[in-house]
Amino acid sequence: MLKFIIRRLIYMIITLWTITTATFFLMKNLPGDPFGEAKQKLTKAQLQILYEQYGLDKPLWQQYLKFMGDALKGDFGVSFQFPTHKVTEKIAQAFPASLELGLWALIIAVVVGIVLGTVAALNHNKGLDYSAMFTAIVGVSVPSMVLGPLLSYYVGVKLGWLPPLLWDTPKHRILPAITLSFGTIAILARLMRASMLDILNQDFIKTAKAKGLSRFVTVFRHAVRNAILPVITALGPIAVNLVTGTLIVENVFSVPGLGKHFVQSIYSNDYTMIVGLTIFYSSILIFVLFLTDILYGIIDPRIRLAKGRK
Amino acid sequence: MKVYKVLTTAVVVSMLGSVVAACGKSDSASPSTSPSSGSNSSAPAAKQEIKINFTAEPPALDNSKATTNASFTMLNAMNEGLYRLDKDGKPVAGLAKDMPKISDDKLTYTITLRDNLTWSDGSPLKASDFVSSFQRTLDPGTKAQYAFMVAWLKGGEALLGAKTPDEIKAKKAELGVKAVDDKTIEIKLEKPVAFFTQLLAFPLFFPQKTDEVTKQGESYGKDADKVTGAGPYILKEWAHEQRLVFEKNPKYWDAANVKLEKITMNIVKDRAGAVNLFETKEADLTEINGDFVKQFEGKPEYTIKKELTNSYLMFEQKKAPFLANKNIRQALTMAVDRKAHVATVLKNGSVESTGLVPVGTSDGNNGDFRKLSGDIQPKYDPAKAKELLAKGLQELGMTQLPSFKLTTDDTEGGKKSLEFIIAQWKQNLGVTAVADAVPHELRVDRQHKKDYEALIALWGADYNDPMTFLDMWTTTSEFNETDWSNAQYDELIKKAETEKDPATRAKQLADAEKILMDEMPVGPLYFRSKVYAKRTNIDGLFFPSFGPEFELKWVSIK
Repeated sequence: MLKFIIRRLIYMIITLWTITTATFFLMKNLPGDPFGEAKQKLTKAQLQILYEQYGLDKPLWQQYLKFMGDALKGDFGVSFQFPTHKVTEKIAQAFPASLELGLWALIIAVVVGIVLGTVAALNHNKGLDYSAMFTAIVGVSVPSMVLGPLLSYYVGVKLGWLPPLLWDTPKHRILPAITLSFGTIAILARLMRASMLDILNQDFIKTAKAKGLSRFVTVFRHAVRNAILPVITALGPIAVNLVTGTLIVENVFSVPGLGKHFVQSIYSNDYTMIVGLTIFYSSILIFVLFLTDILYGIIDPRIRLAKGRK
Repeated sequence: MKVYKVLTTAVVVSMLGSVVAACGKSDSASPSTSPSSGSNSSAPAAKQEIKINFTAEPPALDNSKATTNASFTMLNAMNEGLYRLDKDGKPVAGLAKDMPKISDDKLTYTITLRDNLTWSDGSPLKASDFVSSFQRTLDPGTKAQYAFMVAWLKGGEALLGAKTPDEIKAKKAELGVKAVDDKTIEIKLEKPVAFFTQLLAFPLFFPQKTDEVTKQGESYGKDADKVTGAGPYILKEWAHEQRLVFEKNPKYWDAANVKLEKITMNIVKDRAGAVNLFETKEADLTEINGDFVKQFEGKPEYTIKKELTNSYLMFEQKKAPFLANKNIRQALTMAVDRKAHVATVLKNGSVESTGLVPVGTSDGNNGDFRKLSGDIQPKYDPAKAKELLAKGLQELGMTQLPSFKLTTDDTEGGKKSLEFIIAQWKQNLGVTAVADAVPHELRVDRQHKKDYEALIALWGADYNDPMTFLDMWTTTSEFNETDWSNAQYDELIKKAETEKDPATRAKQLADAEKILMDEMPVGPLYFRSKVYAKRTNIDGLFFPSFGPEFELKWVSIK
């Protein structure tokens, strides 16, 4: 297990370095520079002074080496859009809101998705199956840019049940979390249903039934436990997507999260922010995939044994 | 093995538990009976509090590094310059006791501060706080993107370009700003600047609490507790990307005339969301645009903010040589129904252009430039535009205009404007143009490199004077990105730059604008406005036409 972890760690570092380097050079190929609005007002000489101040007048390889040197010390530099903030500070400020929103959405999605998928599989080709899958299809089909404003307007403004937007009290979390979880519920429900149907037809389930085990024990101890594996595999990247911020939901509900920075930093050529966010996002994704692997080993002994044999 | 069985069962059981718990939770959290939170609807009208939706997080509350109107707005609420602009855009004494004493050569400004000025924390505010602020903005190490505005000061450009620490120190000492004593500031300019008193109201010219700047270093202006002002309000809370909360500053010199006790600015980018907050009384002031404008039209809350921003077509004469023909440029501009454009496409209170300089721009002589210059842009006239096009083509020996690209920002408004103008050209002139919508940064970049044929641009004023719209079109100006050149125009601008008599100067600038409207190197489209929904019980709020988004000092709730 230790060998496996060390090998994976080395792969992770190589992957991260590759992503960072590629992002750095791709980003420098973006047309324009990070001085947006000010650029329209600056003469070429004034712009040149700014380039010098930010080290953008140096050859690309020198800029890259300086950046990598600083990055290894955990310093990604100051954001061009927010000149009083370091990139790491900006991420630290915005990430908690995205993380909280994402976790709420994840909990809703996992619970509702797995229940829907299980119920559908247990009632294969019956009314409950069709209605559960219909719900899932609606979930996949209605994008958050439509669902968010609808919920905000009808539940928040018309009915007045919940705050339509902003991010103050626990109540403010409900609508954005539901909006964000909608698409994921559908994905997980369909995945769970397919997986459950597959497992329910396996011999060991028939054996369990033949042994006279109760339906409850058969379903939860044998079927769900095995059927949940593909869901867990999918859950890693899904969780990362949910917790690292989503532009649309955060915009609609004015959540002070990370989502907008992903897009805005690219639009405004905020070099330091782009690379900082890329490293941050990649690190989380790589780490979660690593965790998924380990979790897999815990849930399915066969995988662990296979690794042991290696 | 058993351990894993137990573990696995525990995972499954806990998941089931969470299903049940979640179901229970969602039942108990059923919000149908809960009243909407924090609604202000039943609050007495006399409560001096206001909630505002603001569309952007201020990037920095360090007035040296501020570049956006979000920063300017917040800084203007919590701090003050020597002067503050009143509702007519005229400078009135702020931290200065009275108007500046200006030398005969218009190069030296001597300004006396009010007595007993203090920062919001009670410490004394001195003339040296202005000096150190100006020096810091121009210090290359500060990396201030708008430093060019302070570079009007004598020696400003030299300090900005200083390379070594010793050179920076020397240039700071030579900079044209001195604290004669604790209450007197002397500013020297490189050349006369007719609107300099007004410029001193701009946040770039605010003072900075020197010891705080030293203590905070790079962190100055990063959080509510890392910046101190001397303005009408104190920044009490800044939850980044979420809200800023201001409270009245009891130590402000004019606190007796500040009525608001609390201002909450929520950062709301989504236009539908902004309207939702206004509807649920969670916002008293919000910008509205797009289809929401119609919803508020004719209602008492409907408020227009006129800006000193114009939009115009630019024609690059080398990239598309046929655009070097004056008649063709005239035809293309005249063939656009500007009135229909603002009414059907923009729908944001913007008005059709009647020249290049927007309505509301001062003429530098206590008058309105638009009134002085008149409606000099040729009216929309498809028939005449067709004649001009034919004439232009004849001069060029062409039978028809080749297809060319029209470039602009890929914003929603930008794309709609593109479609509208291209359709107008097709319909009225039979001219084919191809839409080229690109991200804002790329548009600016192409404009800078003159890598476009025709382009829709926007220009916002840096100060309230026609010069901000006119001096950029001279032959030597780096902002003249059209390759148009006119000696007579250059001459008029050059004269106006050094003219000491305001009336003569205003006349010279009006004459210069007439040349532009005859030559049409750029074809004005509209003067931009914004639409706001504002509660009717808000009194004393006005919208400066440039810089801060709104002025909050004199606001009260009726």
